[in-house]
Amino acid sequence: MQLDFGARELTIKLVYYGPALSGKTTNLTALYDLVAKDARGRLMTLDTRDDRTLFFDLLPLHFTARSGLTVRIKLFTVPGQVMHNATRKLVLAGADGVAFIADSRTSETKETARAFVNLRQNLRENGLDARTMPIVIQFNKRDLPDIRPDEEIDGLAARGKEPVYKAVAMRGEGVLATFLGLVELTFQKLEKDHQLERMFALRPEEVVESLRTRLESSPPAAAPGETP
Amino acid sequence: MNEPRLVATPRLSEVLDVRVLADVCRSFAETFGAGLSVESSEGRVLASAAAPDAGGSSEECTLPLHYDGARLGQVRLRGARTAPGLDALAQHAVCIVEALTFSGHRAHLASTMHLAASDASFRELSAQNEQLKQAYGKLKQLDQLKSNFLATMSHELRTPLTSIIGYSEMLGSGMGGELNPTQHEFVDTIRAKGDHLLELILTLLDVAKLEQSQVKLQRVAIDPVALAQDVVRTVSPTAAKKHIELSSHCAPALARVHADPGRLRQVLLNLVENAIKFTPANGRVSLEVEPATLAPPMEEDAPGMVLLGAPEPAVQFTVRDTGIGIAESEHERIFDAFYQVDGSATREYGGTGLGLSIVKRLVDAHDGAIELDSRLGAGTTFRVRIPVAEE
Repeated sequence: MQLDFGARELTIKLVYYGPALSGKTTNLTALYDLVAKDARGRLMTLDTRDDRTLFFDLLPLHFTARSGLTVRIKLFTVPGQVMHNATRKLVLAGADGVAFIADSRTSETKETARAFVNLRQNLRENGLDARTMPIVIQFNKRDLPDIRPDEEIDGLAARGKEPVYKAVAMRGEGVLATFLGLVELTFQKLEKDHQLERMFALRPEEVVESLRTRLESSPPAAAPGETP
Repeated sequence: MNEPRLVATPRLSEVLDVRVLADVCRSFAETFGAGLSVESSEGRVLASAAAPDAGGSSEECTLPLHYDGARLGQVRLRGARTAPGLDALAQHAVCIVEALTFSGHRAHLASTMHLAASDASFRELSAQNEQLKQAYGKLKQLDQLKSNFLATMSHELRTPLTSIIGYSEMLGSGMGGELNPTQHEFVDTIRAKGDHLLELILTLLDVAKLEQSQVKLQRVAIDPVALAQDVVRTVSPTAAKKHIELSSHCAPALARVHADPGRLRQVLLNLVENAIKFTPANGRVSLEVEPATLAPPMEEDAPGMVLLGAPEPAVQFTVRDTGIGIAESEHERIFDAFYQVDGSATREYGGTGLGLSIVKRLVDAHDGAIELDSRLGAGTTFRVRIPVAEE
């Protein structure tokens, strides 16, 4: 979190983390399509080769809260490939929340678990703790065959502490729910640590609602065929 | 730490190439006959070009440069045009400068990241090298200690024991003179206990090895069916001698397991031998092999439960007997070292009480699981699950 008292600006960093080719960039692209033009910056996709992210993607969003505070949310993705760990660690530095994008296919279960262990490790090395960090988990690619069954995920999700979302990011399904879930969790944590409500009259619910109305009422770029 | 500040809004002078900008200004002046200057938010002129024909009346138009929701500077246009025309032209200039800013920002971030990532990799590798060096030194020391301990166990304890066993054998065979029946009995007891002690030391050595090195397994992909059949073949003479019906059943098309062949064989052999040992004559012992799943052990409330706790494919070996069974109150302690349910069992059935603790350690070392299902007098079932090999 960065706070600029003079400019009354709050900047939040959210990171989309996960194994290679799990759909992190696709999530960002889908969000980009949902956000009205005046509330977003350009989606920056850095140095990709064969559809693989090399450094990161960056999508800046911003809105002004009722109190006049400008809230900027910078969404980052990390490169998923194992060899880019140094980059992942750098992008993770100073993150306020993490969305972990998992590939639902059973064949990817091991790789996904490894990526989560890597996240835990990199958080620790950045002085952050996976136990207190706001983390949501998205099971992406629910439309593919041979995926981990709903019952299994739901059963474990009920025992685990992270909110779990299911998605088909290619079709934009579940992308918004994951994002808003992460925003809510992150702002709840920020409220607890920094008392945003007392300082800026900014409540987590207001942030989520502001974003929800902005995103849900935006032109349906992701759903062609519907009348605006 | 030299981290790139990824969330900061860029400054215009950081991301714009002033020479490119000067070219744009010049081209504007030549093409549209309008003077263009680009200024940073602090008012510094980054590039400008005057209109070729500055004579006559001229209008001026200033537009802010926004990027990522923040004002980074402004574009000033001066030319002999009417206001609407000049406005449209200024808008065009803003678009061009914004596009340049975006691509400049991107290049700026990419190079910052590249430098930082290389730097971080280098520091990480250096730190790892240092750690490895230290760990290597420590391991060498530990290895020495372990070797000393094992040498003491196997040599210093076994040598005198060999003498005890040897001399009691000689006494028993009458080499030191005839013994009366009571003396015979005493000497036999000394020898039997000596043998028992030797067996205990050998097993302890195994436990020590398992504990010290946390078991170095040579894990490969092995066929569970071949292994089960081999185990059954090995123990079938013992079963036949005790009139115990020994059977095995394997499910078709089983995946190969990721295991150390010798160690997994030791596990199954131990369980089947135990089953035979604790089953009275005319009883039954069976070994079944079938597909199963294995959930990694997770602490409640641990982060990433849904990702790390996913069940993995495994193969289950079930050893079932119709023997004396184990009371439920004993189930927890059964895998502890040196524990045998009833001290008298050691006398009646032999053994050291170390078998199951070794089995448990070996199964754990395979990232597997072992379960027990038994009631007193109602037979015992052990289930061992071992993860399948990734193929």
